Amino acid sequence: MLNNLRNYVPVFVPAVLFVVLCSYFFVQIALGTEVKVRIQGFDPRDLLAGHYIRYSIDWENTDCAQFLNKVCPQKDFEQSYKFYVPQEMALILEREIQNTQNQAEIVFSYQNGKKPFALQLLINGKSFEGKNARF
Amino acid sequence: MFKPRQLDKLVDAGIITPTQKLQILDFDNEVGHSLIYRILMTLGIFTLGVGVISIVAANWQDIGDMVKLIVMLLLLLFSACGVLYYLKQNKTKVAEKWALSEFLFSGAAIGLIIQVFQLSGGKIYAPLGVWALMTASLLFLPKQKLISYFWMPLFLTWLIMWIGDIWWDIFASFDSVLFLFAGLMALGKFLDWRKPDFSGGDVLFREALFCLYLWLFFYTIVGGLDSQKGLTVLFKLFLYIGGLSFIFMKLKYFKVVRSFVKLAGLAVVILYINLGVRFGLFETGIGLILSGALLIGLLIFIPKFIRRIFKEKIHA
Repeated sequence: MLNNLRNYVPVFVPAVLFVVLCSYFFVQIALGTEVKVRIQGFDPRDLLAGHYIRYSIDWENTDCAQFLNKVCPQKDFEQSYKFYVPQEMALILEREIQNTQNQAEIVFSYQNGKKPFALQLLINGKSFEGKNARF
Repeated sequence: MFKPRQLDKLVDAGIITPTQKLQILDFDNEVGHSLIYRILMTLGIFTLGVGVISIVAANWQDIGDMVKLIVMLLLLLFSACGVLYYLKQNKTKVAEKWALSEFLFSGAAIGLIIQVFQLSGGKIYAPLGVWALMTASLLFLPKQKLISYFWMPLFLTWLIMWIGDIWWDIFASFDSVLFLFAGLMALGKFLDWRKPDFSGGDVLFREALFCLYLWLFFYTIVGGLDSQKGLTVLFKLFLYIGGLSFIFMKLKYFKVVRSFVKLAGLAVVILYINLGVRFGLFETGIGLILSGALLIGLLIFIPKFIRRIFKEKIHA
């Protein structure tokens, strides 16, 4: 019995931790409120680029009224982020984001004082929805 | 691996009998098959894992997030059940391969979590730490060694990156890094001594030793050629290499001492170049004679030193 337990516990720990991690992120996202933050394209020259686009937050053009006390919580956000997309869409999206005519935004799930979770990429208010997306 | 021709020479010289030659070849065949089998099995599991991950990754835009996470969970559970099944059958070697697939799937699972939850902007080494934490339990599976060989480098990479990040100056300090690796070696040896069945201790000792060796190698070349501090660096290196060689000789790790002697040889060459550049030994006739004599002296001294170590090994 003890021997069985010694085998069962170690082999199932990775799966249990996977569930715990996923649940934690789902709960954190559910507890946050959705905020829209303006973004700017980032230098795309990155050796590992392909499955994501890099962006930085454009606080000057972000509506700070959606946050507590109408103050943009800049310190809760990082300088730059990656948004994971299908590889064939990365270049197209990068161009769309860098196009100054477009208004690029990320919808975050945000809790005051905590790290935000990116949920959606919006270009001119339209959500990026897979490889057939058009803006 | 023994070649029949080499064995024929030993038979002709009367060192071994023809029967012993056949026994050696039979033994070699058995070991060879087993090794090839193990490599192919590992490769098979690895290819299978990568294939599944590639299918999920290539079609990830067509598959919902929840489905992707559930598929990954099923893969983790499937590999865990494989480990248990073969452990119950007492096939520990096959169980190890399944545990390795679980280890690799865990890494893929972290990659998937990063993509699904759009996690970015954090520390680059954080996923490695989570991966090491998530799979640390696999080290405690009975009679496993394979996971230790994958897990320890992962853990050391994370540890070095983490320490380098929170305390960047450590990498400016040769001694601190040296003591870090020496501490990890001591920890590995202690674990090995206290729990001989736990392969992690021995592997930690070996991997930390490898890191220490690499660190010394890197420092010998980069630090030793420094025009300002080169001589001080080399003096310190000789002290460390001498001290470490002495300790390992006492512990009867002659293979390690041999590696340190090679490193000392490299340090001597760097010293030779350093002095040559500093005093212009390569520029004048006398300088060239002196440097040539120094080189010949070293070539005589180093093999003598190695022979002495081997004599001690034979008498040990």
